[in-house]
Amino acid sequence: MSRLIRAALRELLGRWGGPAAIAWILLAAGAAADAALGSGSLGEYLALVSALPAALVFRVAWLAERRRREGWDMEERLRDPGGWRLPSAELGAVGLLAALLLALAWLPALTPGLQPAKDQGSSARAIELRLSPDEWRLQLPAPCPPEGRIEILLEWLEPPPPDLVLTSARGRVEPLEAGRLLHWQLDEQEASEDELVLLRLPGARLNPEWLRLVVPRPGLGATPWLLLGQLLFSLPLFALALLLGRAGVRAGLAGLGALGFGGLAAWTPPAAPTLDSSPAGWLARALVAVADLLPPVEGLLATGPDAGFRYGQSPLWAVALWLLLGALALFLTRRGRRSRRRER
Amino acid sequence: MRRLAAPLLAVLLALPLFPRPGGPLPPGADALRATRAWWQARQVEDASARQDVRALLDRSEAFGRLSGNPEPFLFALHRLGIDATAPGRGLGPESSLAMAQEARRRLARSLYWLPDPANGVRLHEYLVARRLLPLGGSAVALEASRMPELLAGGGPGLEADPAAYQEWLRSAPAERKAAILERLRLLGL
Repeated sequence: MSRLIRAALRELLGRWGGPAAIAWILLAAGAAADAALGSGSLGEYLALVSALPAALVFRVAWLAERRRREGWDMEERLRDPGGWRLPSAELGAVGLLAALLLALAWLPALTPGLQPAKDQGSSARAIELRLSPDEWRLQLPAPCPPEGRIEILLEWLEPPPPDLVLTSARGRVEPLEAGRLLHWQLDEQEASEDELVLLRLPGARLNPEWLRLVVPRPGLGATPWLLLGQLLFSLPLFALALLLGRAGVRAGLAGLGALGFGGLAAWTPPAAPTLDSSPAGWLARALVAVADLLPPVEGLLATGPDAGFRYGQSPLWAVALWLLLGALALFLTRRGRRSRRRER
Repeated sequence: MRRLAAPLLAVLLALPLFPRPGGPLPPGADALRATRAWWQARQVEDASARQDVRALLDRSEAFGRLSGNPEPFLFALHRLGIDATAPGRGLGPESSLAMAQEARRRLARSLYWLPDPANGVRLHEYLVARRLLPLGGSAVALEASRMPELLAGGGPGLEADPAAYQEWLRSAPAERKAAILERLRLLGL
């Protein structure tokens, strides 16, 4: 088994794979350490690093296709009638390689001079506002990060009264000063609900343009967890690419298919998508339905400027279910079971 | 089985090949966006070094779209040395508010005439656009300079003179606009 893993590792890496991956990590660290234009941040670094597992998805599909063409299945059927050994070794090799590369990607975060920009900033997202005669109903994303806050700026059409307060429908009261930004720190119960209802103030207008949900971005201390999330997210995709590659799908298409599946899993569909009855609308409905069926693992792939909204948002049961899907793909990859049936 | 799998695979293939805004994005696609943002940041630096205002505004807009900064124009203003807020960090209304406060501070220095926070940003854009015109200007600057009506909602600030602020709010919109234009004329803008 260990020889199979070593052979798969050698094939996956090739001659230039290792140096290319290290060069990419160094380039990503260099780009993310540049804070001059605000382009450097941990989220941007992780976004650049996420290209490595994506490349490995294609690489493992290529490995499966190549071995299928070379007739490894026929030989392996004689050595291992159960059919577990070869796909397990291939998945183990690509998982090990991904873990090594992501561990390497952690090093720049520990090295002064290569660390992503230290000003972690915050992720902000415009939120939908629904109006009713007496209330402003602020639509919160689900799940909403518990440390999130809402920034509100009111415009005054009439003279504001003295001693201004903003009151929520639940009775929470926050002092307000006209012309100044109000930071409404969400409490645990508010963050767990779909909307925050505020009582309208006479003479005040809440312009959605000035309304944001803001959460702090994860700091450098979260780097190992974010990288581990990328690894856990990638494992089932490797298994799916292996399954498609061994089933006769060309490597490029198998890689794209696995990444498309990953895209669906990492997608949070809009709360109320407006879909017509055209074929494209039905297709979109089907995609939304599939994305709803998949476990909510988008938190594992927290990258980019809105990493703060995703980090830590995937429950453990979802991660376990996601890994089980990978195990199912590995189970379906076994050739021995099918070939034994045919022989009977 | 293969006949059933083919259309499913085709849909999965279409997702990464034809990504749509708000739709599913495959893992790794964010790396492409980050690379493009990095390249646009270099372009902004280049335009800034060349003092090419039009390119600076255009590149800033592209960079803003890619980096999650919703205020690319303000970003460009920063690169021109006008804004006091940190670049690329303006992800909430806070930076807009900082811009508004800066605009109010500058105006208050000369005439005690303060726009309200919501219109302060637009006023500042207007002022900067007027300053950019002699440099050759850009489409954005030209457009902004033609829109003094943007300022129609501005008025005296609450902090400087609460009584004037209350009176201002009671006045008719046309009077507000005329008053602002008069003040701008006095400011030499």
